[in-house]
Amino acid sequence: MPTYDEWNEALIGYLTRGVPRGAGIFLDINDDILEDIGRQAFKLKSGGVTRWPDDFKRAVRAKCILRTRVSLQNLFGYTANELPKGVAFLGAMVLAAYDMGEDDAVTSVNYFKRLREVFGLGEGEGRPDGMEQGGEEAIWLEWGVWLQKQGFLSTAQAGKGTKIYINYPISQSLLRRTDKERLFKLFEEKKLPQHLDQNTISARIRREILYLSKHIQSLLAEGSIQRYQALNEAIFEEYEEWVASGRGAVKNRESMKQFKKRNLFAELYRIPELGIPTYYPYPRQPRRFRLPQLQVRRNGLLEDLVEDRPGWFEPLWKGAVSGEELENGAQYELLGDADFQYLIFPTRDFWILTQEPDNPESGIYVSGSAPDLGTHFILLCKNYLQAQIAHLRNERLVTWLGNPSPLLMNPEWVEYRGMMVLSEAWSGVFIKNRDLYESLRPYSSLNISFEGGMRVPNLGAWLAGYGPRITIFTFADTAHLSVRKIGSEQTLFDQEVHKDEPIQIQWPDPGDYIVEASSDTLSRERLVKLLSWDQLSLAAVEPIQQSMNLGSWRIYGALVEPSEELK
Amino acid sequence: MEVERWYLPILCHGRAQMRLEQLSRFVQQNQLYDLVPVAFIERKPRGQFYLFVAINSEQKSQIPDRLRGFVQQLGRPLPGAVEREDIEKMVSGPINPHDYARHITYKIEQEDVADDNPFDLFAAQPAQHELTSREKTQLSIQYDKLLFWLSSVGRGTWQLFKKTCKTLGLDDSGVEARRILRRLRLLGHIEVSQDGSNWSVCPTCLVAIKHSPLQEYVLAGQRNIQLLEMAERPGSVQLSFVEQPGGLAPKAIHLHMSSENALERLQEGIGSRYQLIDVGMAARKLTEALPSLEGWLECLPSVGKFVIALYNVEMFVDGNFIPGTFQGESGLYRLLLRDANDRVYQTLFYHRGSNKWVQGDWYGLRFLALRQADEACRAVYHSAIQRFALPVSQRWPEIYERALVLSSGQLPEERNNWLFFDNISRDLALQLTAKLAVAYEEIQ
Repeated sequence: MPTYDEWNEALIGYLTRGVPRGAGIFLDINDDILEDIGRQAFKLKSGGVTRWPDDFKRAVRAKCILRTRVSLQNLFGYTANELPKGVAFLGAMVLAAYDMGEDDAVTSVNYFKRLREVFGLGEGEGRPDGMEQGGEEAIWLEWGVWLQKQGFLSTAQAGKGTKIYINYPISQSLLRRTDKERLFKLFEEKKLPQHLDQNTISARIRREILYLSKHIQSLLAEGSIQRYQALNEAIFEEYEEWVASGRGAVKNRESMKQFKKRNLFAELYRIPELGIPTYYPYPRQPRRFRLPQLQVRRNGLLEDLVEDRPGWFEPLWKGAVSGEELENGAQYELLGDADFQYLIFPTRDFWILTQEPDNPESGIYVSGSAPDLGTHFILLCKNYLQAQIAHLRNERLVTWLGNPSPLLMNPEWVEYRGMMVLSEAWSGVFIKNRDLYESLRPYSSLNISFEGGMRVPNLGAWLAGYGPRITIFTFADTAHLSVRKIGSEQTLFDQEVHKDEPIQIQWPDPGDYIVEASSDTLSRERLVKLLSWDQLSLAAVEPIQQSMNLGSWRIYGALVEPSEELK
Repeated sequence: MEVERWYLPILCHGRAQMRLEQLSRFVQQNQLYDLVPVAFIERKPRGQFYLFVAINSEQKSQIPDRLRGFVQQLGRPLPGAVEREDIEKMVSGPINPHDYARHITYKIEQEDVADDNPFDLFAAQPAQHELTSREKTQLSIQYDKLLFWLSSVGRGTWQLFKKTCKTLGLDDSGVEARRILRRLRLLGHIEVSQDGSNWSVCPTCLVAIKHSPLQEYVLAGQRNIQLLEMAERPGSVQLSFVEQPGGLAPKAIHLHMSSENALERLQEGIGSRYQLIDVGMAARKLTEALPSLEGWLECLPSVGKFVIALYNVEMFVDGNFIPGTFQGESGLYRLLLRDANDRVYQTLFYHRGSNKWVQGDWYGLRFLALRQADEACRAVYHSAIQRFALPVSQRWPEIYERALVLSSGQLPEERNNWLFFDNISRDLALQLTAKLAVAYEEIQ
């Protein structure tokens, strides 16, 4: 059976694998996730293990429980692989938060009652012996610093008053057991169809906020972008599990993940080809899954799914999206891994496309993310929605550039370019298509935007001497902005700034920097990595992709070779 | 209950501006941005006019307590609520909005894709003022950075390329990037997709340019600082860095081999981290692979079918595009889709024989048009110094010019409307001029 250290390493890998630089990491440990980790990481060690959550608890107890006391002393510092030692212990603390019922008031007494159960400490009240007041905080901080050094944002936060320390685990648990059960009921009551994509589910959830648990309501109302995104992903996973389990109202306590065949979803990838927007299907990678070797059969052609940026496969370059596919959606067979069945290109009435996040200067737009405050996006939609969109503009909620442009491939669709959300006053305005309304309505009223400079897209960094300008978008007039170097006391900037105005920071040496903004009651963080020019590596190049064919010769720069056909 | 937005019409008298200021003050002082997000007023109010106040409330038509007293001060509120679309019907002219909700400023973004063809060098003017040698060196450093960046990123869109040139201070006009793209292609550093919308960097190649007394190579394609440092370590290879004419491209890196097996030792020294592809005499290989001009025309990508009547057509005549009507003549044309939002020109060559519209690099299409118009194209070869010259106005298709540039790793020097290429063998000059049906002149 796996040891504590093996669980610790598996857990860190599971949480950070395939996550893009700059994303927030939640130590969101629950039964489903432990089942998933156990199956993926310890296939060969499963002898005698019936439930992986129980095995996880066993391993944590073996490491940190001495009779009736918790021992923290072996949980500080880093392993030989430079991983923080205490993450599995922190995961057990989050598991206790996951077990809290909806009616459990968030109090120390309630939390520690659950924690004692996880640690198998039996009767007792309050903090277990050995966990002196705040003793575990250093482990949380170590985890946070390690995440920042890896290019991720730490999301665990201390609370206030009596909840200073218990807020760390509570802030990490996104969906509690009771939240998940409530979601199953909601999906069933609303009779949601199969094959809805993540964007649609997110919009539906915002519509039904009053039917959700108080815990989810409070998370959605928080305005934290990291939590919002992570929560939507977690809710979509529940939806997929609900579909796989037969769409009933009751969630089975045993995870369904091992039984179901997975589908993947494709978004849209828009690239201007000499001024003509061209769309390609853009498949999402399965979340938290070792990347499978897959092929997709589309329009009679087989195409490999090739890894792109974290979370995504490369667009299906063999054929642009047709007018027919856009209108009616499509389902393509996946080959190469029995766990996967179809790649679904959903049927939708609208798509929201935002700038390619690693490379906003490229002119490429992709769907799949909600538009952030102050950023321009493209709304691709069916003609019939134009009157509703005009209504939103009349109410001064959104605006766009020029006239909507009909698509050449399907004139029943139009593009609104340079669209932006203008106002926070969305309440009271309604349009018939509530999914569209909820997808456009801003989910946060604070954004840190980076522009300019020289990006190194594949590394999510900028080059020294060419760092980005920072703009804070908020509905308030000003915001507080600070920029400091990670792992040092060096503060580059710390003052009140006007909204919507780009600020050129005097970026010094290469290194990792954290940018923090706060406005009204909200705060937000983003990371900036600066590389020196000698840190630039050479990209892997595939000579065949863009070579020029001249008769029986293929030319690629200075390379002149006979064409493949002649070999 | 859900909050709903409705409009309260208030019949007002007096100066409209004063009423608006009154309302604004009240909303701001009481922080009622959510309750009263916007108000509308007739654009040209006179004497008696309507003010429409948007109200977000749970009970439609009922004036919230916090507003009731105040609206009486503004004028006479009409009973009942009106919808946004009703407002236009109640007033004779257009209406102006006045916002109270908090907003983000909308900054107009120029359409990124409009009017931008990476191959179109017709409008692109070269830099006018003569640079000092220090400025040229500075420029050269920026181009080196561009190639380091391209080598690391690997591939990208034309737009990204253009913005990067701008960031590095290489293109203030927005059109110089098109020339940069072409120069990097000539040097074998990057390749571009057929429609020009994407670029990709080429693998690191050693291009042989001299055999005697010892082998000499230039580096084409990807490079980074580490690779150059490794190649420069004391050994059997000597590196020299040669600025391009005008400093208008990354420096040429020459590798001088000090012995027969120097290349092998260099490869060993660099190890498995980097791969250097020895492509030999690339200029000669490319020259042999290149077809005749007619053959090249056949290789050009043709654009799909389109209805010519939907376009404004301009034909290239005597160095200019002249508006006209398409008569089915072979030649170079510029097409602009009528009534479109995107003002993107397509520059295409029409070949009557095959009834095809083809696209390609600007000088290439222009060269086709010159040959089509039976213009005498010429080239001069100076055999004693192995220098080859052709008129700027008759610049060759990029891929043919690439064969000339790869002979030395240097871009041509431009003087008195001629382009001069060095280290060109007689045989190469003869072959290329024959393929393009260019009149060959030789001087001793």
